[in-house]
Amino acid sequence: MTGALDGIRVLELGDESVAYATKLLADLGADVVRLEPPGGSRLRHLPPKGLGSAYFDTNKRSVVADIGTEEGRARLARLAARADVVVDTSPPGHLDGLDTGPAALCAANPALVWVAVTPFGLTGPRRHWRASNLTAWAQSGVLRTTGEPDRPPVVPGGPVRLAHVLASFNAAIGALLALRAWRRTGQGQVVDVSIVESAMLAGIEVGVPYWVDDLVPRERQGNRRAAIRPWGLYPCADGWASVVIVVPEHWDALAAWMHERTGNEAATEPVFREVLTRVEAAELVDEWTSELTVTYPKHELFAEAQRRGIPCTPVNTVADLAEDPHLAARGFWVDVEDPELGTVRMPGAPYRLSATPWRAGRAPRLGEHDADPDLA
Amino acid sequence: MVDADSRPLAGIRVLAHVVGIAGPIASRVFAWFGAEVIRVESRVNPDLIRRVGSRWLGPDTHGPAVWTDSSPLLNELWGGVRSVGLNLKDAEAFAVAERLVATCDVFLSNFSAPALRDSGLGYEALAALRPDLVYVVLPGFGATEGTPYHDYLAWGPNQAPLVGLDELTGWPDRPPAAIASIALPDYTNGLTGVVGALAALEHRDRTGEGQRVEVAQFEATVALLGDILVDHDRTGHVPGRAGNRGGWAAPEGVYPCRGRDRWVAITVEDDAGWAALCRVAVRPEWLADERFATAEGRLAHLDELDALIAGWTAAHTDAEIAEWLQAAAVAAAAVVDNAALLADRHLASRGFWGAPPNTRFGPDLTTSIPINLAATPGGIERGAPSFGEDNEEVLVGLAGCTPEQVAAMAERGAVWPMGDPAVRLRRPYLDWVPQLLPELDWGPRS
Repeated sequence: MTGALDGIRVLELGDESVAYATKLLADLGADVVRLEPPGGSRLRHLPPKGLGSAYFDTNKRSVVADIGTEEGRARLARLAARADVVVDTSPPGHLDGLDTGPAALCAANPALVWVAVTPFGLTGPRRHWRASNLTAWAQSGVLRTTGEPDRPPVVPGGPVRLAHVLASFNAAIGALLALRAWRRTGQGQVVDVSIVESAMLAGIEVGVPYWVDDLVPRERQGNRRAAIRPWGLYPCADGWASVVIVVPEHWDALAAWMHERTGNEAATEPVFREVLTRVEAAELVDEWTSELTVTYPKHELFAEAQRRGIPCTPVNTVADLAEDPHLAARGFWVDVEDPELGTVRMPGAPYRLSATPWRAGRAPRLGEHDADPDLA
Repeated sequence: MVDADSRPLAGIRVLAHVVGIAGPIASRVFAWFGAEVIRVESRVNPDLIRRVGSRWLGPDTHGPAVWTDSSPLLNELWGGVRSVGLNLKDAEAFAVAERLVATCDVFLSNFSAPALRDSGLGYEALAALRPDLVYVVLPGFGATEGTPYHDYLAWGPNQAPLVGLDELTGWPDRPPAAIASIALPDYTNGLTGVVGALAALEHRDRTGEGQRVEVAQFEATVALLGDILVDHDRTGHVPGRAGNRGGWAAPEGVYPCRGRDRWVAITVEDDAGWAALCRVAVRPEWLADERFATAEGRLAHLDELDALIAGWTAAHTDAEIAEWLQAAAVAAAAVVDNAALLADRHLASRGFWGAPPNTRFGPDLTTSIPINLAATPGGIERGAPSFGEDNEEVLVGLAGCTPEQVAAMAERGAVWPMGDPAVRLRRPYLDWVPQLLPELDWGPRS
C-alpha cells in the first residue's frame, strides 16, 4: 500500500518550530528533503541530547548547503524548482533579500506552495520581532493564565515546545490546503503562519472574544478552575491524579465512592449535585476529594474511578507512559533501526489510516542524501 | 469578503457529529476553508459548550433555548457551521441522517468508540451508504476492542495529565501547576484529525477511494513528546518540572516588571543575545563576568542570572523591556492580558479578528484560523448557528424530506427546532469593542 502523500516533494528550510509539520507529512508518504546548514540543524543539538532529530526527522532526507554562499543558494534554487512545497522559518524578507525567497523561487516555479512559519507572521508592525516557544506563549495571552497565583506565569508543557507544535499543525494543514487549491488552479501560493497566532488558536477558552463577553479577568489558578469542583489535580499515595466533575451523574458516582471509602455521608447530600453549590464549598469539596484520592496509588485510582464511570486520569511521568499497558496493547510504539543510535523505540502513528497507512522510519544522518542524483 | 468558490475546501460537505472542543475545532477549520459543515446536535444531551451560556444573560432571562445559543465560545468553535437538531435515537430521524451521510464527503466525530458503534455510526455502516466516504473519528483511547482503556471516559481537561504534559508544567519545588486554563490536547488532537482528513481527501482525489481515519487522542498527544520519550528509552532519564527553563537557552524565564502582576518573558539563545541584553540593561559588569561568558556557564548559573535580570526588569514596564530587547534582536514579550491583545494593532492589522454575525446576537467577535493562504484565503460569512437553525434547509434541501415530514418529526421530538426564534439580543460589549476594532464589519445592528 502507498502513503496518502506519495509523490509530494517538500523542501524544509526550517528550524525546530516546523519539525513536527514536516514529520507529519513525511510519515504520510511525502518526500521531505531537509536542507541543513553545515554542522546540522539546531534540532541535532537541542535538548534532549540532540535526539529531537531522531524523532522529528523520520522519513526525511538530509542535504547540506550553506545559504550564505553562492553555491548553497544555487542548490536551494534547484531544489525549490523541483519541489511542490517549501516549509521555511527564516525571518520575513530574509531569503528574498538573498534572491532565494518566495518572490524569486515561486516565480521560477509557479506551482510552488511556500509555507512561511514565523513568530509574528509576514505582515504587521511586529513582523521582525523574534520569539521562542516561551515568549510566543507570553504574547498569546495564554501564559498569563498558567501557573500559580504566587509565582510567575509558567509555560504550558515545559520542555515540550507546544507553541511550535501548534504552528507545525497549521503549517502542515496550510500546505495540504494550498496543494488542494493548486490542483484546481495550477497555481501555488504563499501560506503565512504565525507561531503566536497558532498559540492563540489553542487559547480560545481564555481568549479575547470570551473575555469581552464576560469581563472576568483571566488569572492563574494553579491546577484548579474556579468555576468547577472538583477540578484539577488531587494527591494520591504515590503522586497525583486529575479529577474533573461537571455532569451530575459523575458527581453521584464520586460521592457514592467517597461514602464507601472514607465514610463521607455529607457528600451524598443532593444539594452537592449542583456544581454551583460545590463551587461555593470549594475548599470542602477539594478536601473530600483529596481524602478519597490519597488512599490509592494513582494508577489504582485511575482504574477504579473509570470502573465507576468517573472521569479521572493519573498524572503520568514519561516513565509511566513508557510502561503504559494501553499504549502497549494498542501496538503504539515502533522500533526504528538507526545507524548511529541502534534500535530506537519511539511513538508510532498519531492516526491510523485504513487505506494509506502511516509509516515508521528513521531520521537521516547529516548530509546523508547529498549525493542523491535527484537532489543535485 | 469570502469568495466561496476559491476557498480550498469549497465543494466538500462534512457531517460533524462532534461535541466539546476536539471535534469542533477540526470542523471549524473545514468550515473556515470553505467546506459545507453540517452539525448534528442533540437537545436532550447537549454539547458542553451549549450548557454554559453568557454570564451577562443568565440561564433564566430568556429561557433555555436562548441560553444554549449564547456562549461566547460558540462562534470560536462553530463559526460558519450549520446546525440540525436531530434525534438519532429515532428510527426515522436516523434514516434521514443516513441520507445526509450519503451526500457527504467527510464524516467527523469525536464520540467514543463504543458510543459510535452503539449508535450505528461505525465505519462499515456509513461506508455502505457512501463508499468513498472519508470517515474521521477521534476516540479518546482508540477503537480496539479489548484494549485496557477502550471503555474509559476521556475528555480534554483529563488528557493533559494523562499524557505527561501536566507533570512537566510548573516548578520543581511544587506539585504540578498543570495546564488547567485550556484543554490543550483537545486542540492538538483536533488538528491531528484535520491533517489525517486532508491526507485522506488527497488520496480520494487521486484514486476515488475513501477510508477510515482513527485518531486515538491519547496517542496523538503522546506523539508530541517523542524526543523526550526517545531520550527516556535510551537513558532512563525522566524529566521533571523546570519552570520556564527550556534547558538550552540561558537565561530564559519570566521576570517581574513594574505594576501589579506584570511580567516579561525573555529567551537568550546565544552569546550575541547575552551581549545584547547586557548592553540594553546597561550592565557591563554582567558582560564582563566570566561565569556568564559562555552558554555552558550561563546554564550553570541560572539562579544567579535570574536574580540579576529580575532586579533590572522590576524597574521598568513589561512593554519597555520587550521593545528594548527586540530592538537588540533578543526574543522577549510582555506576558500580555486580553486588554492588551484587544488593543494590539499588530494583530488587528493582520486581520486576526472578525465579527461574523449570528442570527441571535448579530456581529460576534471571533478569532481567525491563523493559516493565511495568500491566493485562496479562508473566512466565514456567518457566525455560529443557533441550535437547530438550519433544520429546514438541510433536511428538506439535502436529505430529501418534505416540510410536512420535518414538521411531523418535530412534533414527536425526532427533530428539534430552534427555540424561541424571534428572540434577538445584543451583546453588551458592542458598546465599546467596535471602537477599538473599527476595521471590522460590525453590521447595521450596532
